Amino acid sequence: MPQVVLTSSEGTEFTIDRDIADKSMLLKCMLDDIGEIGQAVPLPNVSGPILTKVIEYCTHHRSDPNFQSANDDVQADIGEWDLEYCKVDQGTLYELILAANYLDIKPLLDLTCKTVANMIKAKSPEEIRKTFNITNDFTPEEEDQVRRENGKHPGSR
Amino acid sequence: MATMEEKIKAALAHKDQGNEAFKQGDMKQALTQYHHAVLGLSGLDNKMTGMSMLSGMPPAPGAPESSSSGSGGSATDDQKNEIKTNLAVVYSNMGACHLKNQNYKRAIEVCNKALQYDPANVKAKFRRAQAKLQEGNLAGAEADLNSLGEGVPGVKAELEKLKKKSKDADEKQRKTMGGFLSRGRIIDEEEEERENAARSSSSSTTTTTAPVPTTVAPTTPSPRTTPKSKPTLASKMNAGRKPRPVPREEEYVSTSWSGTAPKIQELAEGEE
Repeated sequence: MPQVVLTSSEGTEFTIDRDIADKSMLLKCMLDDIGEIGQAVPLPNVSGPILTKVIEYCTHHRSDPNFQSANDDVQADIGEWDLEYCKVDQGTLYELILAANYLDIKPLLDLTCKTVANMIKAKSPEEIRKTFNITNDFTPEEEDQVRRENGKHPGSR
Repeated sequence: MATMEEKIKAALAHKDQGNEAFKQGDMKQALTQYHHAVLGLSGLDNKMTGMSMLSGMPPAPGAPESSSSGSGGSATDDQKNEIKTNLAVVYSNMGACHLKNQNYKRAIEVCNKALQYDPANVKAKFRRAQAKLQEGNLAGAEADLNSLGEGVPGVKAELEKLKKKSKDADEKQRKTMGGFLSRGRIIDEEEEERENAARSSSSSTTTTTAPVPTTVAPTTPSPRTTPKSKPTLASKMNAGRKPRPVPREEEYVSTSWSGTAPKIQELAEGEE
């Protein structure tokens, strides 16, 4: 199996198998276009810890037959391993979203976004504010109006 | 760690090297450099959009947050535009490489990317049209070319190519379907001829109504104009035409072409 060397933003090198790199459409297109390049691929916008996490995900899903369309069903439940995988602090989760977007790894992007969505789901406005550290900048009048427009308990279904 | 500005600069240096390699004809090197430019630029682009989206997020303690946003901060609006425009150019240039390599599928893919970043990138759309044309997607190529307009250099030439290609394809289809559609084909060709004739004698505008037989019949008060076109018509029909079933034509003529029937018969005589 041919290998690919990736360099994170701080210059750390990661050597991975080609099929793992191919999970990223960004890398796949590049490798397909220019073949074995014999030099490290610089990823100046992904940090080492995040790249480690991303590689962990791609390695786990290495042999998924329909990897690229795995999460197309938005209603489907998140698998057990994926659920564990996303149990990280918010900062890491957002970095993962950005990395998945950058590297163009759609299943990882779907998974991480879904995780954020689930953090919002079935929460009251106050709970959501608390979760995401959002200051309530509504005036009491505005708050009242929103409440009227959305029913008595917006968000809590 | 590099600042945002330094990162953009480094990526643009790759772009320039890519352009240099392209000029020298080294497509592989050009693509390599362009890809490196993308690796440098697109991350920044994602980061800014992501960061602005998540601006309300708390910097979670212990998170490797500093690794990215901390290094260069988020981009200014000017930088954002610079990044997007350059990404579009880089992808569009990749499209040129793929065109050169006759890898049309990839050319279309990267041109699509370019247009995502900058829908107004003329070259990307033009190259996509070229790739579509080469792939045989004539309708797609035409749509792209038309949306560019003939004012864009090169569009006219591509449209010519397209016309030729679609004519060839048409011809081919006619040949394969030949026997099956023989009758329709004759009528078709006749109509074409009449149109041509009308055009060749365009000094008189009245003849432009000629393609539709029924309208010609009543409006023949200007019959002197049509004969002018006769020689052209006859010679055209003579040129490499397969002998056509004459009786059928006569039948066709006598039924619906009462007004101009004599002329057509003359033509038929001239042809034989």
